[in-house]
Amino acid sequence: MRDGVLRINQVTKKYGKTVANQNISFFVNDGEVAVLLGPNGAGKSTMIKCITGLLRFEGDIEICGKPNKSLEAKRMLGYIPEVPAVYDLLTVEEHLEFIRRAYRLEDDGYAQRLLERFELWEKKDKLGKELSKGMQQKLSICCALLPRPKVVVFDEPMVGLDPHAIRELKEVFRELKESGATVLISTHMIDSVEETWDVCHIMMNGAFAATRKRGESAEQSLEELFFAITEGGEGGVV
Amino acid sequence: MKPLRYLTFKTMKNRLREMVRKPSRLIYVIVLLALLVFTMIGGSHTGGNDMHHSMDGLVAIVLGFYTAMFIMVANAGFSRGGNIFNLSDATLLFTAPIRPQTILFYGLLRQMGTSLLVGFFLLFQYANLRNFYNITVFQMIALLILYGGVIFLGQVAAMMLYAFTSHDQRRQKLCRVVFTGIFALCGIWLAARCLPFGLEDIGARAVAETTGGFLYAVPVGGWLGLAAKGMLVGDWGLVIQGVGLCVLLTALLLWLLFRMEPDYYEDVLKSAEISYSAISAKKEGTMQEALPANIKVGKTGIRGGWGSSTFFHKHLLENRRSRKFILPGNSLLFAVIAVIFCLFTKDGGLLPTFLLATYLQLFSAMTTGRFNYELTRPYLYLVPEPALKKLLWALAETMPAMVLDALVVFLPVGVLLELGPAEILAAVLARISFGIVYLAADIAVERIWGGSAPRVLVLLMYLAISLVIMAPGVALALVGGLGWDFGAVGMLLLTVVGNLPASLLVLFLCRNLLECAELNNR
Repeated sequence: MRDGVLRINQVTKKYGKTVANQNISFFVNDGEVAVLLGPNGAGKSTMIKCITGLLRFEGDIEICGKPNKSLEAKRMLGYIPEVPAVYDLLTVEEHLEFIRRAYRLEDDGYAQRLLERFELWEKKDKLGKELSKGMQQKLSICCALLPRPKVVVFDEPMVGLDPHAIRELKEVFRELKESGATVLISTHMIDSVEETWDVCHIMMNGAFAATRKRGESAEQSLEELFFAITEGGEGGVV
Repeated sequence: MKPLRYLTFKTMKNRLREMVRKPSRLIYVIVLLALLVFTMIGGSHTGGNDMHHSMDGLVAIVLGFYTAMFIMVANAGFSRGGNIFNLSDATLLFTAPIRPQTILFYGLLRQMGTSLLVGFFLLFQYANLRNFYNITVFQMIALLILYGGVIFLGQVAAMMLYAFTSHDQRRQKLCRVVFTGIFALCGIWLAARCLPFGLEDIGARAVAETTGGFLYAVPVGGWLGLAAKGMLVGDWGLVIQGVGLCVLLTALLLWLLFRMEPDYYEDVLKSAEISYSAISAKKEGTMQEALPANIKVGKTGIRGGWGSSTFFHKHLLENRRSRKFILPGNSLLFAVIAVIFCLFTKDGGLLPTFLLATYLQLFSAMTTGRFNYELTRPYLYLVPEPALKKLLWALAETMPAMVLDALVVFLPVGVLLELGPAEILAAVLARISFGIVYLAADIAVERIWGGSAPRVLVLLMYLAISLVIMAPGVALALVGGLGWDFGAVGMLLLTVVGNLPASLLVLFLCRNLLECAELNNR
C-alpha cells in the first residue's frame, strides 16, 4: 500500500498539561474517505486543526509529501471549519472572488457552478451576515472546494445544514472520492458518513480506540462498534 | 430581594475566588493597587508647583469630559440599548417571580459598581491634578464618584432611548437629531463665543465661557460639572444643585420607563442577546464588529488584488460597506486636543505639541483595522502565500488612516505655528513613522499574548514594546539634535530613519503569527 496522500505520523498535541491528541499516526490514500468518529471532547477537531496547520503539534504531518505548513501543502488543502468561515460584509459571490484571487486562480466559471450546486447562486448578492447558519456553512464549503484541493478536510460539516444540503454534501463526498481526492471528515454523526466511509478511526480521550476498514468485519456495524467503545463496553472488532 | 442579594454576594465571592485561582490576575491587580497607592501618597507629598493653575481650568476639563462620556454612553441607546443586564439575567431573573422594579433596581445598582470600576484609572491622574490644581484625595475621589454618576446616567438614558425608539425608525431618527442637536448647539455656542476674537488667548476664553454659567445647564455633563465645581471650591450648594438635577432626571427616566414601557423586558432581552452573541462569537473565535443596521451593498466585486494583496482590496470593500470614516473617532478627538494644546504652548515651538500628539497617538493607534477580525477567520492562515507578505497586506489598509491622521494634526498645527512646508512635511512623516511603531508593537503584543491576556497587562506590554521599538529613532534624533545641531526638520527625519527599520524588523520577527492560529490564542 502507498504511504498516503495525507500522512500523519506520531502527532501529539498538548494544551499545557492536557493531552488533546496522543501519538496519533494514520494515513489516507487518494480517492479514500477517512472518518474521525468520536464523542465530544475526543480530540477530533484538534486533530483536524493540526492537519490544517492552525495548531502547533509534535510529530509530522504531510500533504502530498510536503510538510503541512508549507505553501505547496496549503495549495493542495481545503478546509471546512465547524463554525462557518464567512465575512459579514462580503456578498456570497465576493467570497468566491476573494478565494479565487487569494489563491491566484483564473476565473473558469467553477465558482458559479459551485454556487448553483449548493443553491446559492440566487443569493449571490446577499451579504454573509444575512445568510442563515446553514447557508453560511454551504458558502464555507464552496470556498474550500474552489481551489480544487487534493485533500479536503471537513470538521463536523453537517452541523446546521438542512436535509437537502446534507444530501448534497453526501453527494460531494462521493464525487470528491471518485475524482481521486483525499477526504477526511470529523464527525459524531455516524449516519452522515455511513455510505461514503472507507476507513474509520474511532477516537476516545485523544487517541484512536479502534480503526475499521470498510468490509473488514461484518460482525458489528460501525454504530455498534462506536457505542461498544464509547460506552465503555467491550472493545469490539478492530 | 433575597435571591438578588444572594446572587450579588455569590458573584462577588466567585470573582474573588477566580482571582486567587489565577495568580497572573492577582499579581496585576496587586501591581495596579500598589501603583495607585504610590501615586496617591507620592502626589499628596508633592511640594509641587507653588503657581497652581486656576480651578476654573479643571472645572472646564471635567465638564467637557463628563459631557463627552455621557454622549458616548447614552448614544448606544440608538443602536443596542444599555448593557445593564446580561443574557443570564434576562433568562433567569425575568422569568422568576420577582417584581420588574426590583430587578431594574438591582441592575442599576450593579451598573453603578461597574461604572466606578471603569473610572478607577482616573485616580492615576491624582499626582498631575495635585501638582497643577492642588486638589486633595477627597476631591479626587469625589470627581471619580461623579464620573460613576455620568456613566450610570448614561446607561439609564441609553436604556430609555432604546425602549422609546427601537420600534419606530422615524422616531429613532427624530430623537437622534434632537439628542445630537442639543449637544451640537452647545458646541456651536461655545465656538461662536470664542472664535470671533481670534486665536490669541482662545484657551483662556474657552475656559471662561465654559465656566461662565450657561454650559452648566447641559444635561448630566453640565450638571455634574457644576457639582464637581462645588466639590472643588467647597460650595455645597452647587453640589446639591448638580446632583439634585441628576437624581430628578434619573427618577424621571425610570418613571417614564415604567409608564411608557412597563414591559421593558423585551427591549432589554434584545440588547442582552446582542451582547451575548458578540461574547459567544468571540469565544468561538469569530469576532463580530458593530455594523450599521442597514448595509448598502453598492457596487459588488473585490475588483483588485492577487495573492496576498487580495486581503487589502477586500478590506477596502468591507470598510466602504461598514460606512466607517477613515479615521477612528478617538483619532479625531486627539487631533483636536493636540491643536488646542498647540494654542497654549505656541511659544515652545513644535516640540511640545509633537510630544503630546505622539503620546496621544499611542492610544489612538491601538487599532489594527480589520486585521484583528481577520485573525479570527481561517483564510489568513490557509491562503498559500508567504506569511510576512500576508501580514503586510492585511495591515496595509491602516496606512491611509495613518497619513490622514498625520495631516489632520500637523496641517493646522503648522498654520498656527507658522511653520514652513519642510517642517510640516517632516512632522507628518515622523508621525506616520510613530504610527507604524505602534502598529508593530500591537502586532508584537498579539504575537506574544494573543487575545488571552488581561487588558491592562496588554496595555502595559504595548507601552513597553513601543518604547523599545522607538528607542533607536529617539536616540538618533537626540544625537542629531544635541550633537550636530540638526534642527527640528533634521531631528524629525532622524526619528523616521530609526523608527521604520525597527518597526519592520519587529513585523518580520512576528511574521509567524500567521503560520498557525494558535499563536494568537484565538
